[in-house]
Amino acid sequence: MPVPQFLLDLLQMLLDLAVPAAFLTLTAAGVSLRHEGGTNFHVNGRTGKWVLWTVVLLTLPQLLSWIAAQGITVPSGSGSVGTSWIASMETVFKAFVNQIVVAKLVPVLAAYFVLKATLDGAAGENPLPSIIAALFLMSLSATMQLMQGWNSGDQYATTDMLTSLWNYIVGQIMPAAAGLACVGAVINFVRHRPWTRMVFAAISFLSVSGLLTLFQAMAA
Amino acid sequence: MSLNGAITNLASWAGNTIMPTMAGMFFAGAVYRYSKSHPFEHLLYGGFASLMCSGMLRALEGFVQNAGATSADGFWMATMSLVNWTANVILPMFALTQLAAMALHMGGVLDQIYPGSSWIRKFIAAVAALMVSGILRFAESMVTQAHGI
Repeated sequence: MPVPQFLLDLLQMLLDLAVPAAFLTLTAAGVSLRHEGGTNFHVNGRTGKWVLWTVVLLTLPQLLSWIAAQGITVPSGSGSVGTSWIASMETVFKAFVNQIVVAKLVPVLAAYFVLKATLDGAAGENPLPSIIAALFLMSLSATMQLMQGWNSGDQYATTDMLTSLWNYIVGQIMPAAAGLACVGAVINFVRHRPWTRMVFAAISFLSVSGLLTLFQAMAA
Repeated sequence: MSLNGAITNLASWAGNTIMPTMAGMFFAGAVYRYSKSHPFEHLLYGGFASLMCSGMLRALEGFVQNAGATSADGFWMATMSLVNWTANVILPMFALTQLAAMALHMGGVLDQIYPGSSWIRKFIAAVAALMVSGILRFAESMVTQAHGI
């Protein structure tokens, strides 16, 4: 029995909306990052879940191809939406994400976090979490492009993208975080606060790959 | 703008722009606390450390690279390098200052002209207060001409 055209169009629309939806989940990840600490995240917390959903949405066709390779029939999502009003819904949603959320709302959210950073400082709290969240939101489009570039296109694209994300964080973000840790160590020293742990944190940030290898050796 | 570039720029701005500027504030604070006969060493060392944020990071990177970025011994080797550096570089330098202080005490200099006596302390504080920029330039010169291990 052939699949009705309406359902095929609906499926096609949902697949086409995966990338705009990924923008929304990445935005939610940025907001959750501030909620969870900014310089840290909770295991099984919102930030991790939103990032995972972003990766899943960006690699949805490849994930479906893996399911199809297991012998499960998956309707083809290639083509275009034939029903005009569904196509119109798709266009409107894409325009909403691109023109309102990404172009206008996300910069305002980032500005809101900059304001929060200044108020954090005024209240005697650490402004860094808000600064990190603001930078995350300001670089949302570039991060999305980067993640799309990590799509290997094969059946294991989801895990490949997570691996690339791990390498990016360890190889690019953590060395910069080590620099911030050195600055934090000096500030803590002057303020008579614990500073030694910041030095060892910097060493840890610079050797995350080595620590993973160490844990693998321990587990072996 | 990438997240990587943004955080790198943040670290670079904090370490290379703000902290060297704050060094002047720390030296000024050290002079003021010295004039009041309060402990001032923390601010003095903090001023030097503020000028050396990049150098400290380069040193830590050097410690980590002793074992390689993906070596299972990376963290241990880096920690051991830090301990060796502290014990074999920093402490000998500290020993020199202690020997110098010992020589001054043995020579009776500190008994005759005690640097902590009020009139000398006030004089030194007044001179230092007029020379905070010079002290900062001097500290920068010392940091710039320091040789990496």
